[in-house]
Amino acid sequence: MPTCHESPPFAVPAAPPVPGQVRTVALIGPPNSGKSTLFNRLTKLRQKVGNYPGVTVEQHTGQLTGFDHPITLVDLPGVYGLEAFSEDERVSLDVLNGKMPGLPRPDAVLLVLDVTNLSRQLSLAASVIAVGLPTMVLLNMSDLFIKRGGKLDPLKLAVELGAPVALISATAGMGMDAIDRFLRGDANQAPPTLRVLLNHPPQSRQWAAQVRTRSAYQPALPSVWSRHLDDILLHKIWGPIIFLVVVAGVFQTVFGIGKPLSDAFQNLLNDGATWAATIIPAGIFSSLLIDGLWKGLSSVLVFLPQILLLFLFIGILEDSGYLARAALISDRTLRGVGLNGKAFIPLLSAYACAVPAIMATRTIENKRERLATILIAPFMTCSARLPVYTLMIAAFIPNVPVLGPLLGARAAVMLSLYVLGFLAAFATAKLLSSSALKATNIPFVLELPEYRLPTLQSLALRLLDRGTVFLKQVGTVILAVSLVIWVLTSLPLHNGKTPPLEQSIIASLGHFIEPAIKPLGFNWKVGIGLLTSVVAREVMVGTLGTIYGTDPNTHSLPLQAALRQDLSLPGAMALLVFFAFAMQCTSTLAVVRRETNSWKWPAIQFAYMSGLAYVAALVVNQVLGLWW
Amino acid sequence: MSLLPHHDCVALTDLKPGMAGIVQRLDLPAQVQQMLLRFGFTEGAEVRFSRRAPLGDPWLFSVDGTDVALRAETAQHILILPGAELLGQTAGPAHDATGE
Repeated sequence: MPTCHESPPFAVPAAPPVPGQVRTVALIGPPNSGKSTLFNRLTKLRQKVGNYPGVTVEQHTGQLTGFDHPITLVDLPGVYGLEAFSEDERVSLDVLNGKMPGLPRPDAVLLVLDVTNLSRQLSLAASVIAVGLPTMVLLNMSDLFIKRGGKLDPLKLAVELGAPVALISATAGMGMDAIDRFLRGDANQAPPTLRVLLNHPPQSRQWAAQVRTRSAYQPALPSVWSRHLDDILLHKIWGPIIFLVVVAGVFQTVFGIGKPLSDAFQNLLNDGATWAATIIPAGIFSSLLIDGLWKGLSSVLVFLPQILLLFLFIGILEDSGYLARAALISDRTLRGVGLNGKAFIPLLSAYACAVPAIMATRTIENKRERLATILIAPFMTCSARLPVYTLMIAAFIPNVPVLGPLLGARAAVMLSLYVLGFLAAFATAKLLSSSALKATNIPFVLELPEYRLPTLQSLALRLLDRGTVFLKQVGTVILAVSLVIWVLTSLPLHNGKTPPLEQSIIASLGHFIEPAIKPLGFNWKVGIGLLTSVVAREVMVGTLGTIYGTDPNTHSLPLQAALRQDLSLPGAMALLVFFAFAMQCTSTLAVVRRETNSWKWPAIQFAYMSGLAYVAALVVNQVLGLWW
Repeated sequence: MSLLPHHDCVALTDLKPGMAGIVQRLDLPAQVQQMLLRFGFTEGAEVRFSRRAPLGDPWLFSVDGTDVALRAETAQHILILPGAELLGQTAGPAHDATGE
């Protein structure tokens, strides 16, 4: 067993270390090197997620404890090199050079490499060490490496690289003491310098070969387990079948298990409101709290279980390594509309939310295909549309079978809406590929990681992350909109009392825009909903909840029954189609603005999607109106 | 390492599954070469063709112990010197040794 528990060796001992100088440490490594697992292990739950200023590269920082003073660990995005090809690489290089605003230059660097693929990661090591910060090289997954017959002398590698080297395993927690010792001691020393000719493949390769030989590197045998799984999952016939079963299974579970979960959660929230009504004296305050805020918030909150479930599945697929196979299988199909297999991952995430999906397009190196993916992602049926769909379907579509017991009318309508969004996305992609966007020659290259068992910790952190984002949205945007709507429905006061809804400010506002939306079959209340849902789609439900909740005619009715009284069936269907196409999400527009670095694309996207939504809703209402 | 005349080379897409070879030349723009280098596709590297994706394309190659997918349109510009002995070295015994 190599020397993972010994003090790491140092190439050039400089002046004696002055402890206490290390305050900021950067963590860097290629994708799939287990960097996130190590970050989670080192920081436990003391971490913060944000964005680097001006770009959408997520910035994860965490605190290391057990030292005399707090040490901040900055998790850099996974990169293969530091040549600034991608935004991720530019950000990493800027952080290491101390050029990232708001972040001090790191005092030391922890470089994580997957020792089972060491050869081609040596060039990243050369680039990182050449930056000139005290660097420790962590060879991760060394337990697997040794088990599969890999060999390496870490002391000799340390001499070659001019930096301390430790064999670790982030999943097993092996070698963590070496990191601790590095941060206490040698991270405080001036680092030795390493000069390798980068940007010059032959020399770089020669250097890497020399390092491999001198450090007695013997590669591990490839994982037989992964290969056997690929024999099945990438099989000519079984592969695509399993792919379709997995995708269908995800949706079936999210809606099959998610729906009862959401219903149970809704009952809990309703009970809360009923209980609150018994202890808060009736009056303006109770009206604000229960009719205004609680109805607005809870109508959105109920979707938390379904959203978490969808992200759980995406997390399992991604962590297990299957998502990369899915991208490989779908490449052939996506190529037909001018995209590539890497668009599969963002497009699948877009079923949960377009914002992380658009951020996930950063893995697509081809600029044209990346822009096309960004532009079509918001057409995929995101979870924010679910509240609107579920509400309207439950209110207007009877629960009758369509295809025997297999498919009910409600499920059929829901499915059609998903298909509608999908078709709109693909038609738009095709349109973009044949006209607007110029082709570039960056090829499709996809690394297939070995299959791994997803860890509970990583899945839990993902859910915590997404859940927090959702609750933040509910607690800020939706709370504020519900408050504004309630105030507008409660003014002007008549003899110190709230006015009838028809005489409120919001009614005049609604009636003002009504002529524009009447041909679509919408009334003024829906119009207010459309206005507020420009902020975020799910706000629509909260707004309707507040408006109908304060209307004395519908106050005691559930929202579904109130809508049934107030809208025609063609109007309701038109509303569904409107939501399938319209770009009602300021967060998405903001992300598109940042990712494309211009207002041009979000503006085009907004105009295109809203125009399409208006025309489609108009057609649906007018055509269905011929029969109903 | 001596690079042999190009007429002895074949494209990666000419290989049969399980066959391996040493990369001799990449007939691709410099930027693309630089990108492929990061995944191990560089002159002198040993590449083994593992399989094709279920729908026929992309192709999967084993480089440096990792599977990397390339479309045929890219792989056909990577020229290699195929070696039967490499098949024995990398594919055969490796599988046998770890299979048990």
